[in-house]
Amino acid sequence: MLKKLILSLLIITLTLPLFSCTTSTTTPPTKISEQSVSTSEADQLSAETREMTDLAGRKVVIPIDPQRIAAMTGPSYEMVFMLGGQNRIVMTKSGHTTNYPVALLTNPDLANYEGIGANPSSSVNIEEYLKREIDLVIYYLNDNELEKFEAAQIPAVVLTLTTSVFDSVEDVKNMTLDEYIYNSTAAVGMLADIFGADAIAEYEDWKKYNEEKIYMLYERTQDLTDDQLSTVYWGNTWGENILASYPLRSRYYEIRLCGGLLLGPEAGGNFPEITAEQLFAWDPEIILVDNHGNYPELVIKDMNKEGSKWASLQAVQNQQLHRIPAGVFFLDKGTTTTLMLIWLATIIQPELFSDINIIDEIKYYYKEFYEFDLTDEQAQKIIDGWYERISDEPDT
Amino acid sequence: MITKLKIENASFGYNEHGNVWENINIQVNQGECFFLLGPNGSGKTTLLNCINNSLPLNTGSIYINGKDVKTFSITELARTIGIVYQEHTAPFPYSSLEVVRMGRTPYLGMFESPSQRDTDLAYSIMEQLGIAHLANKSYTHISGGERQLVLIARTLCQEPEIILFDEPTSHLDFKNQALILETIKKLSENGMTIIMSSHFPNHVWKVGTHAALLGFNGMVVQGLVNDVMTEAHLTNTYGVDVKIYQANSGMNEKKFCEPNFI
Amino acid sequence: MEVSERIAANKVMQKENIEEKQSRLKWAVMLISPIFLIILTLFLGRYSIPPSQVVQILGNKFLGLNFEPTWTSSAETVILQVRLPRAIMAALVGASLSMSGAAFQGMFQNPLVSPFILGVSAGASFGAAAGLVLELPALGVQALAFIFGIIAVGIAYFLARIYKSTPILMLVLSGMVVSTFFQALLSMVKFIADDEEKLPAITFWLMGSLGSIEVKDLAIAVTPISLSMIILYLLRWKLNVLSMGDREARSLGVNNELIKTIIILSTTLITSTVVAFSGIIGWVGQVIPHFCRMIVGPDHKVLIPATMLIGAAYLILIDNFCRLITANEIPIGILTSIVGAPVFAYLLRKTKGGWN
Repeated sequence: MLKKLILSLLIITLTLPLFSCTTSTTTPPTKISEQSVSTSEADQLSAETREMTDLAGRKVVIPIDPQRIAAMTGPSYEMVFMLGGQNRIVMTKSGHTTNYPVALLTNPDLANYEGIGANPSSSVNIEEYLKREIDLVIYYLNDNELEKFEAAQIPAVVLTLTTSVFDSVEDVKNMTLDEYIYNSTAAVGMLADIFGADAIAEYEDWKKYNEEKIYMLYERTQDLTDDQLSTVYWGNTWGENILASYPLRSRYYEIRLCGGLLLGPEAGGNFPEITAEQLFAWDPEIILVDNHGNYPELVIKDMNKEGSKWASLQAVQNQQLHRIPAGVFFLDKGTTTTLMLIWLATIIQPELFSDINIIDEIKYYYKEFYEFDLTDEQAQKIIDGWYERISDEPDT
Repeated sequence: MITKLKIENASFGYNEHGNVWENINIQVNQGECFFLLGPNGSGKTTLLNCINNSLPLNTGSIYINGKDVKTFSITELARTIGIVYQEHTAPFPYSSLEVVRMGRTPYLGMFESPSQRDTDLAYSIMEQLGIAHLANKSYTHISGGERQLVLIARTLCQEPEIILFDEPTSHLDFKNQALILETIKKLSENGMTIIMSSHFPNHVWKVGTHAALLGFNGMVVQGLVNDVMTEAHLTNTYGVDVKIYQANSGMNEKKFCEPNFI
Repeated sequence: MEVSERIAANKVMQKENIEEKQSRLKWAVMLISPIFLIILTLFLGRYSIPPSQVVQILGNKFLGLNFEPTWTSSAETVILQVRLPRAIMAALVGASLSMSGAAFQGMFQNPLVSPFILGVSAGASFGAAAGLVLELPALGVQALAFIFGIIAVGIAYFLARIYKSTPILMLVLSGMVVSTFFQALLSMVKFIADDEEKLPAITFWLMGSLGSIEVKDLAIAVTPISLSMIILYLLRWKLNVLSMGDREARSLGVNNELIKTIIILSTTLITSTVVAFSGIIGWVGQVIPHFCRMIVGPDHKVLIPATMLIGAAYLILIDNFCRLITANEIPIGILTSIVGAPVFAYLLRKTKGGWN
């Protein structure tokens, strides 16, 4: 009898958390103003809020003029910075505050931002956000972690999707130019919308720039036949080789815009590994080395070495190993994707784009959208990948 | 009379909680079949394990052929003393011949395997024990009694001068008990020095020449069988009233003992 | 002899002859398989090379022949620097892991034991993950994996030591403790692997792959692996005696503590090296010896050579699946588990849990 009592008590205590979880998710966020909170929070919360739908289709209630933002995803700092919102940021992903010299150049204050580690699968320490009175989080699409923000009543928006927009390569191939332009500008657009008037104006300018440049690329490459395209392989660097690739999806379209054919496994996952033999079989004309992984520049050096096993690849022989540029952030993400495509186009179809001076393009972008004057040397350093991985301070 | 084994002032205990036995003094001469009797927990098996240096004594020494057992190398010891444990199964289904052949290990180097000569020797020993027909049968598929004989054959392959038996008949039926006892008797008659721990006092009269009774407070008595196997001694050792009977069955006359139940 | 007796005797002799012939055939197949599979591997791959060219490339390289190169330098690279070292490494890994498994199964008197039971895979995983997070070059990652594999086993060994002996039960328990400990450390490293970049690298590394094997890796790995394999091969008959139990082995004149230590050292050298170069490849060390026992019997004298041959062939076969089916590199650890676990389950059912 006693055993049964103990057992039932045990079961009840074990199932209690389930009840508490369900109750918290059913609490509508609009009840924020009814909570008893500290005075500063109360001031904040009595300001207006509105409901919006983020890029993951989630309905979120956000403050009308967020002033204490946590920009935790990879590209988010750069996007906020481009829209002129850097003073709104209180906290960002730790790497941003130390590893990007250009980010520090363009915003010296960045070094003082609170930096906390974050990645699509990491665990959120909600107290860090509460203690800094964050009023808006830009975060990854990770339901478990997003629930924590909801439970703490901190608005969280997803502006970049960690899964590809497209289910298959066929879908990518069937995308129209307008669809691409929408997809590649939607995140910045949504962010501008969150910030308000000035940001929206900045966004309109930026969008016009993108449209102009993308149309330019499209016009020059849309009629290229398949054999006129250059084959491109895009790899990451775990260890000493570049066999970690991307699955073919949205990048495929972008490379096509530049007049290239992206090679890669159709399989899913974030960084599917290919076999060395497959790389030899493809023998791409151009190999791009991403900034994920360890020391891309060392891997490139290793591949170019005398007697390296990769020596027979045409990309090695023709010195077509290129590291993806890095400035305020890596050029392939954030607001600078189109800028990267311009750079890529000059590499993938040099004759077609021989009129383009990539240094000038980069300087223009930085002046126009970051309000910063780059020297030629600085622009070149960005092309070479200006990124210094300084070990992160442990979080206190 | 050659003294094969001498135990002097030996005591053994597993920990600080006291000794299992102490003040043990035993002498076994060549050709004797020395029985070790005593109740459960008196430490018979432990004593055997001390004799072949598997366990260390707390005090005292054990001498084999006059040499302290601690000074023997493992190989030397295995060529001098063999121990037959109670039969058991093996984790893998080796053939019985393979198990017997393992007895040749003390004569093989670290990286050596048995030669044809070793195999022939093993087989002939199996023939001598009448179990040659089991050679290719799996050790794990034969009966308990057959397994015990295989283990005896294995020990014989070591060509030892002394054989220790640890309760070799404990879980065997009548027939197999008889088989084992006969084998041991033959070995003894052929001059092997045998020390055997046993649960069956009655076997002593059948096979033993000498015996020692090990009680809870140490050794009660040792010596020739008839001197040792008295009602007084047995009662003292087992802690229960033991009576000795004499019986006839046709031409056979046997002595046996039994606890005295009402 | 009576006629009936003579007929019976003849029948027995015939049976023995057939059995001998079958046995010789078995061994012939087992001996040829790995060699055949290595050669086959050279001809297969996603980079297509006509067989005649393959032969010519090999002839030029190894027999000093002088065929006119009608092939690209990429083709030569693929044959000599991609396929060949990979195939040889697969054979080495398969053979050595299977041997280690068989040796441990004998030593631990248990046919279910894996060569990773003393914690080597947990330790090596932690070492590799730490190396990846610290952004060491590939050689550094391998070295850390190797070192921590050995450290883990060392800890387990000394934890298990009682009065100058290491009883089997203590070894098993210590192995469990050490494995759990290093797995916890591994989780911590994964947690610290803050960036988006390192976690996928760690995960892929742990799943096991022969895809990055180059000639220089083979040159380093072949020495410790072969050395240990030779030692285990020489000790193979002693495993029979050891498998009867510590106490019995000792009474038969085997210095069981010494032999156990040698076996642990050798298998740890093998497993640490293998894990350092190719990640965690499980279910080979357990399943292959079990399977070989069904073919050649439990006598380690023949079991050990059999596990070498069949283990090598098995892993070459699996690795070919890993690299041929898609453009992706399928981690070999996944395939060996997918194949190994059901096969093991089948063996378990067939022998009904007992192995007799």
